[in-house]
Amino acid sequence: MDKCIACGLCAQKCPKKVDDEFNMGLSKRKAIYIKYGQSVPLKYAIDPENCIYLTRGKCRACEKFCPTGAINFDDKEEIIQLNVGAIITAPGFKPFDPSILDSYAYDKIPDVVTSLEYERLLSAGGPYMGHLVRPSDEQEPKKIAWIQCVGSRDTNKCSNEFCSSVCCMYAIKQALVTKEHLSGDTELKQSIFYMDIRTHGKEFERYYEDAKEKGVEFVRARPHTLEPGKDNRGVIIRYVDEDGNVINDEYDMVVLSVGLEAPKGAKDLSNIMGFDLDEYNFAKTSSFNTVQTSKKGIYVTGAFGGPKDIPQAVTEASTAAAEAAKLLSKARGTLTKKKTYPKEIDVTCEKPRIGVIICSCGINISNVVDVKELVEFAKTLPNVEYVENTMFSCSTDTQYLIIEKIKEYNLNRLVVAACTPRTHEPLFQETLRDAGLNEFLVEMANIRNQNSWVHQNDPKAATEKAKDQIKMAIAKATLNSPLKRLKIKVNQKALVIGGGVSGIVSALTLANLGYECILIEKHSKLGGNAWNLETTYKKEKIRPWLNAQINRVENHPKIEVLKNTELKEVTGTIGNFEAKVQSGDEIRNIGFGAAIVCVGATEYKPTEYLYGEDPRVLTSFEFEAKLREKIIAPEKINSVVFIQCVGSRDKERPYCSRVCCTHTMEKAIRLKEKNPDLQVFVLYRDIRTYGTREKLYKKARDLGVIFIRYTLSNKPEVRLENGDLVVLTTDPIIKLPVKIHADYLCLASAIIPTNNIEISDLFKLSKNTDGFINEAHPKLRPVDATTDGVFLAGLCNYPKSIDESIAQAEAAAGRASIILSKDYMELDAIKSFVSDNCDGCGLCVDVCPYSALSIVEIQDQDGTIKKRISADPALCKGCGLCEATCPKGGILVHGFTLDQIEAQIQTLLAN
Amino acid sequence: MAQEIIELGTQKKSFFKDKVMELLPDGGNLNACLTCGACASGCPASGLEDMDPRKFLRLAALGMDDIITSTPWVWMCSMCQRCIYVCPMKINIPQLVYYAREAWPRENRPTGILKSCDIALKNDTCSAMGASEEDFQFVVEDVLEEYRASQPEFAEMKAPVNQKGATFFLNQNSREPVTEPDEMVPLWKILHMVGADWTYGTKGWAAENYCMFLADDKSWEHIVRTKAKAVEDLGCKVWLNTE
Amino acid sequence: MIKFKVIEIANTFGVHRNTVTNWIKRGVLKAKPVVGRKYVISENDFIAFAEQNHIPRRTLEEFIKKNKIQKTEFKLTKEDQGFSNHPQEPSPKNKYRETIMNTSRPVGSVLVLGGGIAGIQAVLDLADSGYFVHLVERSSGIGGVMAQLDKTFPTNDCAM
Repeated sequence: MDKCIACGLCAQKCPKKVDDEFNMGLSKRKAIYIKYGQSVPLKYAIDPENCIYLTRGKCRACEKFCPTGAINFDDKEEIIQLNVGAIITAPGFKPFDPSILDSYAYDKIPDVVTSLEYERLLSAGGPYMGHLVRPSDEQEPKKIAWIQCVGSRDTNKCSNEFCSSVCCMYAIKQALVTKEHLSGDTELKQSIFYMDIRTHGKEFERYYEDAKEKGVEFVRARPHTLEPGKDNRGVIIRYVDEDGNVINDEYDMVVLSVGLEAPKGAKDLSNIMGFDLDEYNFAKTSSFNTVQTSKKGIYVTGAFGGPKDIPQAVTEASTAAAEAAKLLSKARGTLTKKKTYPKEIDVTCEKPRIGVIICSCGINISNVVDVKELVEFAKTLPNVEYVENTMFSCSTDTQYLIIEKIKEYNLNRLVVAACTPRTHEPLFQETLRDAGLNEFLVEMANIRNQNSWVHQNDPKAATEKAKDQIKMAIAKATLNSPLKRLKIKVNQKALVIGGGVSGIVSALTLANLGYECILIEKHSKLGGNAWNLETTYKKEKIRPWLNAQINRVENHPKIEVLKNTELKEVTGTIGNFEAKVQSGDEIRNIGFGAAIVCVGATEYKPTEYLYGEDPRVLTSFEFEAKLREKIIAPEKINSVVFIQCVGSRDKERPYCSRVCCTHTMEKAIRLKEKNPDLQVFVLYRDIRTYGTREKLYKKARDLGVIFIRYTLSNKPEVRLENGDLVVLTTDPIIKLPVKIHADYLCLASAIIPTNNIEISDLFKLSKNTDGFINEAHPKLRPVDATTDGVFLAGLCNYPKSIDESIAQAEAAAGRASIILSKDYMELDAIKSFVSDNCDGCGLCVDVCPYSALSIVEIQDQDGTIKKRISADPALCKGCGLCEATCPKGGILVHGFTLDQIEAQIQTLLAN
Repeated sequence: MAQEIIELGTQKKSFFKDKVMELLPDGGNLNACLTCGACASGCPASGLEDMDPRKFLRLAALGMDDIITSTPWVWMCSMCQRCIYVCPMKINIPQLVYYAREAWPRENRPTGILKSCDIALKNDTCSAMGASEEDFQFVVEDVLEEYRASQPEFAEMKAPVNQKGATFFLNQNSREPVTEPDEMVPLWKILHMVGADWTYGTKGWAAENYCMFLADDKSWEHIVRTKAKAVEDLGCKVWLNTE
Repeated sequence: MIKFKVIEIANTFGVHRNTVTNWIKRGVLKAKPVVGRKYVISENDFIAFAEQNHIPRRTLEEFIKKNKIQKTEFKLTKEDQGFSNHPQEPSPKNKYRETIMNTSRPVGSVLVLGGGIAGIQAVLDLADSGYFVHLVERSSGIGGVMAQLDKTFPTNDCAM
């Protein structure tokens, strides 16, 4: 593997073609292959089941043509023994194979595809390079249908009783993204056939509404059979709509939204490691710790713990890391190696001696731009001492070459003409450090993304442009000077704001990882909303657990709990914050390196359905309280009605509160189990018992709970008739009015953010339109807040269930601990700095998006008070807006000074 | 349907659906419906009488027993089982339809089916067209003779009647011997060519079972027992049921 | 008596051969080793075990028919004399493993199985926290299913 440079020659010469699993069998690869173009490691592998030499003893063409001798047919399978402290299993999931659903004819009709196949058809790296065509005749489809719940919520053809959680969202996403992949102004018709639409995540509901407005048709009907169109092209769907009309419609393509099953080999893993699986072969976990399997020290994360989407998987991955870190906290740092670098040579007094690397990037650059011409050109430029053309400048062997040449030619600057700095600049910076040079002495010219990739039709012009780009890069590099990364000392304490479940779990995790933390809570009691809940959806009792956790928090030597305390002011930056908290009249200063915001949310108090006017109409929490206090006795009443989505998914609050369907199911089941003759009715819009919570929905139906759907335009009416509480609605299937006499009416009301304005202002966190605090990136950083050093967990981020809050809280604590584990933090060096030309006019302060600049008063040598700008390097991100705004050259950015930029422009114009 | 209001939530009553659930294994999953419509999408009778399986089950779920037990739609169901085949919850709609049929007063059930059942009950032949033992035997022997004569390659073909101890007992729908006797012959030819040891019986020879369609369990049972006895009396091992 | 090869049981029960070996080691599958890398088990024990694992009757009967032998047909190996359902005497390798297990300070490294997005994130967090991580991936590259997706909601980022 060390020798392979991924040139691809072996695959070119290999005679054996195999179905490409990465493209879901829609295209072919060779028996020697890389998984996909950006695969890590980017090394070719031989498929032992298909390689002609390994199966029949003939060929070995790859070995003949490999330029580095990287092929080794004598390689043997090696068994490696590892001693580790903990194991995290993340084997993923297996997409459901719809071949077993013979009525959908997946095996027979070419234009019936699975959702994963559709993703490959859409992908730029897929079999058709992102140009969407249908498999039968490679024509662009104009009418596409999605069928939801294929292999999920089905106990007839498979045993997947659960909901796969993600399919509704991915189908909508695929529908909205499809238009971009078709040429011109194609009249596109898209229909999604569903049972319930489950858009229960953050911003999901808005996306759903948006899709409807953009013309995606949502049909509440489940087709029975798919038939091929004429000549086996296209698909005919027969379905019955909600009005009872039988409709036959022909589509160009049908996408089956397949579910997420337990991965192949789940049973083997469970056998080998000795942990339990649940009835669906997912790893069995408790709601109070969704990453701990039944075996201590072995954790599970991702889809193997149950179907989930990417943000949840990423969150849980951090949770599992935190758990493992807790377990092994005594051994932290014992096996890691600290990388050492040679001493940095001081080049400040030297004349610039520039080395230039022109990258071919395989054929990415070299098939458009004439790299040989560029090499000759670069040799003519001032200060250039060495030029080389390499195939892949980012490969390991090129790094060794660069270090060698730096030493040989005494170079003190490096210019790499290749891809975008966003991809590999850190790599080249690292290489410079290994060569003993300051890492900021490298400059990149993007002759790929900004050149060869977009000028494929005009190689001559592309080459000329590349010459200009290299000229400019060399001009800038000449003026590059060594920069130092800012080092700040880290205050290794944490502040947790909010003492509900999320705050408690965060604090305990941090403490058990070895860090001190202070937990502040606004009210006089810890526990927050959890006191209002009875059990989790897995029937675990919450109060005993909550009591135990509160006990641990209050008695933990590393945690200080401050009740009746509110946050008043925050200053500072990551690693070094200062806060003022107030308790009664007392104000206290607290220093901390990282913070976790867990301020929670509250239950909405409805303004409809006679709430507040009749004592029998209650919110979910109130109903639960009355059940607990035995004021409501299920044995003594006739009927209970639940209304879902009260205050959610409407104009005022166009979001889904995620947990209410599950809570209602759980209560309905309890009521029915106490009294089977009690009639329970649930009025809903979509039932969103996602994941394995679907089991509750099925159980409720089996116990005889009646579900009646309503729409936003036809909401139920609640009236008093002779003192009786009646609920009026219409049955959507029979189309007759329904009148339900209710002893109690329970409203599943929305979760609304608490008055988070203060907290988010104090930390400069951003919120979404609905008032929930935003994460830094919905998929890649789901527990980081938008301010560095601040994390968030629980309801304040978005409504979620208790197990999800616990997972997020632990993940947040785990990630916060990464900051706290360091004594010092290094920040980037591309920061603004104030020059002597500054007169404190303050124009830059207005434009700085990171509030890193402020006007200060300084005293001059002769005593006059002058205004000047002060730049906080910890907050500054080096965007350059200040430098562009300042009319006096009073504030500049390291590495992008006015001189450097001017040099680039001058060299470009000099012709 | 007349514009009525469905009233729910008062004292719990046992619906028709509940009674059927007690009779089926696993309750036929009759409570598990989530109104997805897969059944209706595949039902050949969807749309007739403004009804489809989803609507039917929904009416049952909401206790509209009057409609369930009086809609003629239940007689349009062919018991093809396409509904339960794709139902994600495997709900036994055909059985619900069957018991709804049974709820009809016998004399109100579709005349054609009713009459056929009654005729079948009158005779040990079980023929719904009233064909007698002698009639059947005559027709078989007559047709056989004709074909033996006109098609020399089948000169040795047999169509035994009441052959004791034969391996196979073949039954026959009444329509063929009564109105289209030639249609019986192709099957005889096949059995002849494979050398099967088979026979008709004069008792219990009729294959149709209108009493089953009528949802008359007692009569159904009688018909089946009569036929089974006929097979056993001849000592045959295998009953070839052509329905 | 039933005589079988590990791979035969693996195929019939739909598991990996290593799982079968583990079953035998743990005594869950009461089989004794005989020469030729095969094992023997009493018919009753085998039937009980198969039923526990929900093997269809037909498959079970076919298997037995194919693999049944007379009692005198197999030759016992040396281990057979002392073979029991209890774990073996610790070999030098096992002893080493036990020693590691018994020290009071845990090992500061973690094994992550699976190189999809969840595995990758876990690995990064752990490494940043100061633990050495081994990432094991079955296929020839990391990325999992997410690498196969075209764009992701809501930013329409490419999944890569």
